[in-house]
Amino acid sequence: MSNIWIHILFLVLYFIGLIFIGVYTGKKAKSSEDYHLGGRSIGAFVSSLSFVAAYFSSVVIIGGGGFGYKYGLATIWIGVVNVLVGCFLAWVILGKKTRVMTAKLHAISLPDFFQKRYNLQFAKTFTSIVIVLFLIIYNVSILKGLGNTFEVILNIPYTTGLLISGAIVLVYVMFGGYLAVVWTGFIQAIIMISGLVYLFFVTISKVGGLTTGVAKLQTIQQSLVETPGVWGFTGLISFMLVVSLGVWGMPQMVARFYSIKDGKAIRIGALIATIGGTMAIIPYLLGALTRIIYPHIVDVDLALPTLVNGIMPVFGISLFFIGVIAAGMSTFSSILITSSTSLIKDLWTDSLHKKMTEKQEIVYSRFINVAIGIISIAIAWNPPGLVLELTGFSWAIIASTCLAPYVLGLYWTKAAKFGALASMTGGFAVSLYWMIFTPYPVHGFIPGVVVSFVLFFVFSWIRPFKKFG
Amino acid sequence: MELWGMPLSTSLAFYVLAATVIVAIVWTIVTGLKNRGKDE
Repeated sequence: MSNIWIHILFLVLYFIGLIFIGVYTGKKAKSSEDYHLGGRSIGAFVSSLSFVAAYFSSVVIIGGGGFGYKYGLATIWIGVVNVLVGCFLAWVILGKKTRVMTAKLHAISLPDFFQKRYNLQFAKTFTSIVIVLFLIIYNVSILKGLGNTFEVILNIPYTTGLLISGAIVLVYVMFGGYLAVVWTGFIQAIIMISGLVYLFFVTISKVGGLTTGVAKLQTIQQSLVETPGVWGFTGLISFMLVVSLGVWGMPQMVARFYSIKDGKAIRIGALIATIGGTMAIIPYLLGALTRIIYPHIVDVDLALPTLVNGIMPVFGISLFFIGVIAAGMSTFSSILITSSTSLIKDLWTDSLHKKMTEKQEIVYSRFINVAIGIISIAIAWNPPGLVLELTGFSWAIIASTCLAPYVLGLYWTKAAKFGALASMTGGFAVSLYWMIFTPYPVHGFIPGVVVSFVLFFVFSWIRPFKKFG
Repeated sequence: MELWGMPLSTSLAFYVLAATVIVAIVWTIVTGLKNRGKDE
């Protein structure tokens, strides 16, 4: 059997497993809250590992490998800050408070939380539109990572890989809903972490040990091993903040906190997410070391797939291949479910006051998933940028819109509706302007988030409301 | 302080990572003990 057929065999087995989970969990979705939040009964292991899978998707594996290749070992810092801020602190600071408050308000999504917390319908309508539109860009970055992996490992056209992976995710999200997403995410995280750890040891052995690898990298270019190295502090720190602090305002990530069972599960989940998240440094490290073995890769997003294809034994390639696909699919499916919740629950039924039965909500959510998936695949056909650049763009806009009203809504009883309104619209406008015109070379996330916090405090002070709670 | 021949500015990342994991373990144990027997 040729190597490609072995990869295909593993892939088919894996896909059958995913579809089985989708259909099985789909039978459990009796109500709309079951479909969108899994009935708020998900345990620590499944919640935290599906959080890790949704966070460190093919974007981090493929895009992180690409950034490591391009900018060197300084990019390890991105992975480390992801673990500290994006995993540990996110769970500790946001987890319990979000679980308690969303259950009390009966909120099932971030826009729903904004509307109920601030008693402001516009907040729900505005944020659900921003979330749906800009998560599509994030979807494109994930699909590009998947397409690139199929392209190199199966030696098939990028567009064919894009269609196959996109179609499979659509099938299991359509049938299973949120429960399918977290359960497949849990399994995908295990596969993804195993694949990365295996690749780590094979690569280190190939370059003659980590110390020798670093020395060889130094001979290529000294700045590839230094921090901030070839990227510079401005680029490195601002990107680090987007993909770490940005998580705090990303609806598909914080959804894990509303659906988790209880406070104990959050405490244990924080530890598992932190330990599971440490694998985030591997793609950056290996991406940098890939330069030693393959010094002339032009499309840097192909660095890790090329490395894997060149140095791993056949079963190792299959494991990595499925790991990347698992990573991409888990995030893609999380985004689809978040987008459909925003469109059907937040925009259609609540903002536009269209009546629907629970059963109709589930059916329409399934169709919306397919429609958003198809639009994302169509844009990914000719992707407009590198994997991590697209991710940074999408995260900057969404987090600048949602982060301040979400965090302050949880912790500040004086957080008022005019503050939230000014913060959302101001953060959105500034980050979008910055990402398009770049008046100063820092990532648009930073001015967007700073402006949104400042506007929140100023307008809450000018137009205070009675204390919440 | 330098790890695997990396300059300190890069090696420091590994120390921060290790410290994060240790703090997470300690936090989980301490908050678990504090909330023992409580309905969370």
